[in-house]
Amino acid sequence: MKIEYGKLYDADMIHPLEFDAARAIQSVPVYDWLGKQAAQIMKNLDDLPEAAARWFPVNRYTAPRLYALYRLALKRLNCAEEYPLFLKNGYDLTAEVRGSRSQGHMIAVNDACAETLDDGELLALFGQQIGHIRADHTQQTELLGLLEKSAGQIPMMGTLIGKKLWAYFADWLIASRFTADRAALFAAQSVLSAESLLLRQAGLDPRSPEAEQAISQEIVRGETKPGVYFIRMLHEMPAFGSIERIQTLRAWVRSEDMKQKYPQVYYQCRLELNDAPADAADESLLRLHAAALDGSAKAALLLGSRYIRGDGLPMSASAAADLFLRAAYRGDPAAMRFLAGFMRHGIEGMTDDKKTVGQLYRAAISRGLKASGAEEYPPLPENARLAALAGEMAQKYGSLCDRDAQIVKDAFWIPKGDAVYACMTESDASGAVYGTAVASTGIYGRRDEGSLPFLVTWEQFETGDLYSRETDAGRWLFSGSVPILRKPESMRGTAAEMLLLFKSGKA
Amino acid sequence: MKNGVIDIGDYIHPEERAATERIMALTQAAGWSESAMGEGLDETNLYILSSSCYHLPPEHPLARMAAEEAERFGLEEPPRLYIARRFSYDPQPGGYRVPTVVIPSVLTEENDLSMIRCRIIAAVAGVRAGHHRLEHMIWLAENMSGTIPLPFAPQAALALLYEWKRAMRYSQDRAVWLATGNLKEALRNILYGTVPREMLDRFDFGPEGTFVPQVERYGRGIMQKTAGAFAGLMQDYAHLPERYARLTRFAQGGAGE
Repeated sequence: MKIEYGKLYDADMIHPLEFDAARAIQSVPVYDWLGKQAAQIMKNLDDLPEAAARWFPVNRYTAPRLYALYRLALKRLNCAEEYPLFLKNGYDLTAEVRGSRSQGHMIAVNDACAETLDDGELLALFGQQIGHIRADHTQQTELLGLLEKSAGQIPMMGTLIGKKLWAYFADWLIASRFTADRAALFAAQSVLSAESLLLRQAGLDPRSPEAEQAISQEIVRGETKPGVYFIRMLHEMPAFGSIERIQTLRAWVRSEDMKQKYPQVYYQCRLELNDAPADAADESLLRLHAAALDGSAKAALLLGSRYIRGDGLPMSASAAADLFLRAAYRGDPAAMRFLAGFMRHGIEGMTDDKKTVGQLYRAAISRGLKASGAEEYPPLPENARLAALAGEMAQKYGSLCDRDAQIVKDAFWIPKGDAVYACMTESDASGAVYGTAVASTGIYGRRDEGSLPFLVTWEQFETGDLYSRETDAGRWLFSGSVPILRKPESMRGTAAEMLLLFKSGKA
Repeated sequence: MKNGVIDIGDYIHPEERAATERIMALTQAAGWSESAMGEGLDETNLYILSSSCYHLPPEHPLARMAAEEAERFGLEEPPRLYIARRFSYDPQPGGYRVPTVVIPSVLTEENDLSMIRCRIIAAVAGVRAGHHRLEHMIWLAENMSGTIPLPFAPQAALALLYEWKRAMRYSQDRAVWLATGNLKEALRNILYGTVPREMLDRFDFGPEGTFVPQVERYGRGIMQKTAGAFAGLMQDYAHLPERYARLTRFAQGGAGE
């Protein structure tokens, strides 16, 4: 199971070299004035519609896989704005961001990416582009483009001066890519996916022995500042700096800074990179993280408690919350109680949602949790009519096996003693389970990676409206205001049919 | 050829030699050439390549192949080889004092060893003849042409450089033939990467081959006779039938070739 990387703060996303390079550029006296003039010009520019007309729009109908991954990348990078996404013809495994602060932004991905890259690599690619937007790189590159065009008006040497300008920004251009890769890491939530993208962009098969050699090759950087040829070579190398970027990204994920600020990311990356432990304590922590990542609820709970206490690890409520969640999704009652406590006290941005807290406590109590105040959460009532309907449907279509029932009970925080009549679930590559389960005390489920399990009791279901509605994630059945189930192609014998029959009273 | 080493004189096409002499006679040429060092061309080139592409170590089969060809063409050191994702099948020379060659991944992915060898021979022979240096000059000229304050002078300068660029291809084709000793392979190399593979595999190469009628049609073509001179000012690439015909004539010891 993958860890939740948590929020990547802008201050951590911007690579220190980019700060330095930007400072050096801004120290030029005319920079401010030029920037203001360029911003004024950019306000009056409106070339996005023209570009958009030439490209193929990506949405959930035209390219569902790409679109879903793009939305996931936006979510993982806490990006509220959805920039228009397009496909364009291109052989390089790259994408580009167009726009500026005043115009807004859009992203165009080369069609070769959709054909060649796997999900993790595409997430990294989207992460790079979102990172460029979040770090305001487009503003700077637009400014550069404008400066180049303006310089071109100078008689005689104008074009050359324009080209030379890019060399002046060389350090910034290089460092801005390091920044984008940090966003790519957080979007893909895997250092290997971020690296794999860069290797493919460099024309290498990530699994080949050449890839490993390339990652450790020496970067030759001389003393002389890049001159006019820099821009020529930059244009010839669309995936500029791939090898150096991998080295820089690796240095960051293995850094003390990463360990202190994003300790779980630090350990997951080290496990992915197969790093040797520094000493016995390090080895034990790596093992514990590996076990937690492999789905051991016990290891996740133990590790979460150590993050809370700062026991041999940096104190991190966010890491603890993630680990308790991980253990809770595996049905660990102590982790469920910890999580409920986090919610009650608003720790790590968790809201005091009484319904979810109740769901957690009921699930934990049914799994043997002994805690004071447990009597506040008596079991929810069952529904006899539904039980009868479920019996009929089970005769017709068969019933869920115990093992599957147990998995959804743990994943959706359903009390252990509940009967699960039907479910519609899917799991991702990391083993997380999403979907809906119809149980004796209500409808339970979890919609996606970014959401917690939900519950609609039978009382709420019977009194609320049942209707279907188009959402960004496809067509869903709603009960009241809660989207409870993704509508299947065929209803026959599904949880959806069971709910519709139950609601219509035809049982 | 002396002691198995192919001399520049053996393969440089007369048109390339003439164009190079005319370029070097230009007063600006030496200055532009020198400016490469001041602009950190080699350092920038090495930085960008080493940070972006896989640098083939000497023990890599392709690096060994390049080393053998470098010896054949009398180069003291083979050029540094890199692999990058490129759609063009042509290895790209670069650098100035430290020559580099970027091999496109599309070429290695097809794994047609005889064609890979032909392209490496062309690149190595090109480095021996200093093609990588003039390539930079073309780019510089395209951007510097505004500095020449005489009407049509920029176009004339570029036309001269383009003429060299076309002729440089004829020289490389010759080098491939001389190094491989296999005319069919050298002719196939000209069309490889442009003609679809399944068609290319059905071609019969050589003086009587299936491409010859097209070469002859090209020779009779109107572009060649009337607009050819004008088009020559603008084109920096040599037409495939032209390369095919010239190499065939050269291999047959034809006059002017």
